[in-house]
Amino acid sequence: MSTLSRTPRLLGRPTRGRIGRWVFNTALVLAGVIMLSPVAWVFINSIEPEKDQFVLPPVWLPHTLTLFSYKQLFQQIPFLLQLGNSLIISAAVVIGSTIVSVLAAYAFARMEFPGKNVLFVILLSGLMLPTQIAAVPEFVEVKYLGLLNTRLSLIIPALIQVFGIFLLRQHFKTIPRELEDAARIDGAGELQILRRVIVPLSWPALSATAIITTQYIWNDFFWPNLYITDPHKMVAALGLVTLQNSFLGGPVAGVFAGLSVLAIPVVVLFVLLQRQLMEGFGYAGVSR
Amino acid sequence: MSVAISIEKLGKRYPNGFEALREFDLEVGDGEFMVLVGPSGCGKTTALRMVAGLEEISSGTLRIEGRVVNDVSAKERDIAMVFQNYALYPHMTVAENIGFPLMLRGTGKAEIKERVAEAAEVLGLVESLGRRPGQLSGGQRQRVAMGRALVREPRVFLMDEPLSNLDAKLRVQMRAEVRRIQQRLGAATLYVTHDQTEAMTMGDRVAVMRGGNLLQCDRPDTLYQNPSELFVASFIGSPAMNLYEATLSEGATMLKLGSQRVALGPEVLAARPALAGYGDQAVVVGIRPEDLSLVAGGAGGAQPDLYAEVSLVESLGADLLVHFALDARRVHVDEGADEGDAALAESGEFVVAGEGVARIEPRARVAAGDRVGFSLVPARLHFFDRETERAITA
Repeated sequence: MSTLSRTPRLLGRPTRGRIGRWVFNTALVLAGVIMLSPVAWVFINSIEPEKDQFVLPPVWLPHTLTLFSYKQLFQQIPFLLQLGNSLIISAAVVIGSTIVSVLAAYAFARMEFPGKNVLFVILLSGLMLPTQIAAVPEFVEVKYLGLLNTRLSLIIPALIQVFGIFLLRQHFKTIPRELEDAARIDGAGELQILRRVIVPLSWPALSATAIITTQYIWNDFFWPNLYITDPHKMVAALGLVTLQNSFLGGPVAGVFAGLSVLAIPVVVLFVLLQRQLMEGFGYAGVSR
Repeated sequence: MSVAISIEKLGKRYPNGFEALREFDLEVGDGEFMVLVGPSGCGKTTALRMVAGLEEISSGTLRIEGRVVNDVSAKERDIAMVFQNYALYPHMTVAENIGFPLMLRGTGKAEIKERVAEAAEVLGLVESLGRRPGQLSGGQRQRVAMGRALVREPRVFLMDEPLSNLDAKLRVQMRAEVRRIQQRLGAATLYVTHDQTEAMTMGDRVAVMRGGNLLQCDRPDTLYQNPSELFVASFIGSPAMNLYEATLSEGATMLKLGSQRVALGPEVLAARPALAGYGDQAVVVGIRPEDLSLVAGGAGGAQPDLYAEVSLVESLGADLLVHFALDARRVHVDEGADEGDAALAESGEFVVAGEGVARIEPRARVAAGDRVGFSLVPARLHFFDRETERAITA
């Protein structure tokens, strides 16, 4: 009796599961297409002749391939120089802010000092508020420091990355305290503990913060637009906007080429460090 | 023997007011193996961490090799420590773990390599030098932790329950090994454990602690034979000492134990004159399980001193453990960190059912449900004051 009534259910369940999976996967693929098609559109436009650009519906399979857009890009603005600026600034910020974040995160995670919790809440509020709120006061600061129109104006204020401090602090808190005690007994001072024990155990979290920071600084337009007016000191993201503006906002072939070039380093970095990135986020939430 | 560690009136009070350690005095001689033992929360680990420099000293004086080190950082105390969870650096190989303290002290690479190899040889870790802690068994990790401590040839060796994460068989094996290594090094050692067997088998001297206080510090056999406190009597020894409420009468020559009377004879009073002051008063009497022996009774043979009903018989091979019931009130000693010293009777710590254990020879014929007679040697009984919980001696 029970066997009879159970058999159809046993047969039915996998079928229902399979249909559910199909629906789910199809939805995922659709979402992927919707998200990726603008990126594909930018890239395809960058290798199409100007007359095919901005055509609706888009020409997905170009009849002729041309590097005209790229030529225009490099002729009209000092784009190579601006890419170099982006590279220097991103590298400086990533290295500098990681050092600052490690030190700050260690203090917040492990040291006892008066006002620690209040200070941490203030720091976190920096994560909640939109950065634009700080635009005016920070502009005044940078101006009085005499840093307007210098690359340093994009480096120094960016050395404090609140998200990085937060992520690393969470990770440091998961490292067993006994390891620090052992290192202390073994003869290590605070900085040696940090360098020899904490940092080597934190590579995934460090990679995650480094990638997030790189991506943020590389793509940032807001702060460069505020501080830099000299085209030779501009970063690539800002340079592209000036390229568009020089044509009074009209369609410009070079912009597509510029966007394509700008995307490459971030994509490459992400692909290379994808695993560490995922692990890093895993670390932040799960105590081990 | 000169003094390696001298602890004087050491106290630890946390900001929340909790007092983990009170007026703790202890001296550890050069090369001596001192064990701190007690139930969890008794302050033994706190004391050890204070000696290590990992915990601030609230009051008192700590000297290592004669130098006051209250305000000296852990790094500068020249001590080595083995942690309960080994605290090996997971990202370093075994060789790097062992060599780490030397590296931090700026020892040359060649010398580090040599001394690590030496330590690995002593500990049987030569094959594992290139591995990481994650690839090692519990016993091997324990050895690496030992290696990291002994490679420095420290003056003082601290160990915080280093064997508690090992399985029973390995623990017994490592007990001997730790002792062997310590004797080879000749370093003064402070060893923390909650396991009285470990304490008894390893320590030159054993300090028994409860509730942040040091109760007694003596050689293991002294602790066992002459516990000065009720708690020490109950904590040291396995199975534990049988403790009952009893009354002394007839000028302390007769002991009333429940409904039974045990003649003590004059030699007990002679050995413990203070007992005379307890005439007709309740005391706590202690009987070690091995001090009870089974007597057949009947005409001709020795007469039993005590009758009891057998509730369970366990065979250990070499011995039989006979669990029995008496109608005397059994005394249960609180292990807790709270102070309940003078309040034994009021707080209901006396349990009416008088369960007890006797350790007897293995060929005795005895079964659960039997009513048996035990003989005992009065001179081996232990007496404690009910109020102060201190042993009644001279």
